[in-house]
Amino acid sequence: MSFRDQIRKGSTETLLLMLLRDEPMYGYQISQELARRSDGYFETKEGLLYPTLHRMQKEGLINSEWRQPDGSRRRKYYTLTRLGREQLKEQKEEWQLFMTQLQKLLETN
Amino acid sequence: MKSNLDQKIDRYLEAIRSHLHVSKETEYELLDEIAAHLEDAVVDARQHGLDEDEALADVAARFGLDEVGPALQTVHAPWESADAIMACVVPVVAALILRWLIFAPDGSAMSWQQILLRPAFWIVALVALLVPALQFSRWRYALITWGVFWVLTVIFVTLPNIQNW
Repeated sequence: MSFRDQIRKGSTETLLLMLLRDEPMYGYQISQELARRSDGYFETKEGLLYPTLHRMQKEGLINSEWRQPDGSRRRKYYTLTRLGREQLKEQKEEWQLFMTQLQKLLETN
Repeated sequence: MKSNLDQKIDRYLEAIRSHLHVSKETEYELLDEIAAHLEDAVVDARQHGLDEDEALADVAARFGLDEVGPALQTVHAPWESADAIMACVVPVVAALILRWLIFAPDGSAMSWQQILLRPAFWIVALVALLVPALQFSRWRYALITWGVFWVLTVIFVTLPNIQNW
């Protein structure tokens, strides 16, 4: 696994929580938004989003609901739970601390 | 009759399904969600000028078909097992309460008429039905639990000598 893949793997949960904070989304929409908002940096194997989403749902961070608007194909939409919002707040703080400390170390060298 | 595209997507889904050893309900939900993703991705790829076969090949490569099935199995299998074990606990607990309800302290068993008139009996019966249905969202578990509960009730009432069980 490349260094970039390791970073992406470690940050996937936070990124998904961030995306779902604003609005409910379905899997394909999430993969496209992730790629668009990061200029492709966080683009990954799209299918691997699902095991992560399902694990997060088992852990109570997100909920899911099948919706079929206007007779179109039904899709499973994910929403953030209260626990998910709390987790997002903690993870954001941790990432910010991590980046600050990393930046300090990189600048000293 | 399924379109050529649907048949090809079905083949992709079959490749993922071969890695899944979960309940039929879970399997159906997983594959339906993935089918929706693949269909959306093919539509997008075609809007970018790819023909159907190119679009499918592109979508399959971006999706990671070989990795998704095992990864989903890893996530879902332990929870499926835990749900099944918990569902088995319900009729056992219901049976223990049932035994206490049916046999008086002197060891005599109630008649059908007496047992069916007891609100406590119906509360246990409803719990045995509703807990698996609501907790696990699986009607199959609920019906099996309900069936086991009634079989035990019949055994307890019709065979009072089983009181020492």
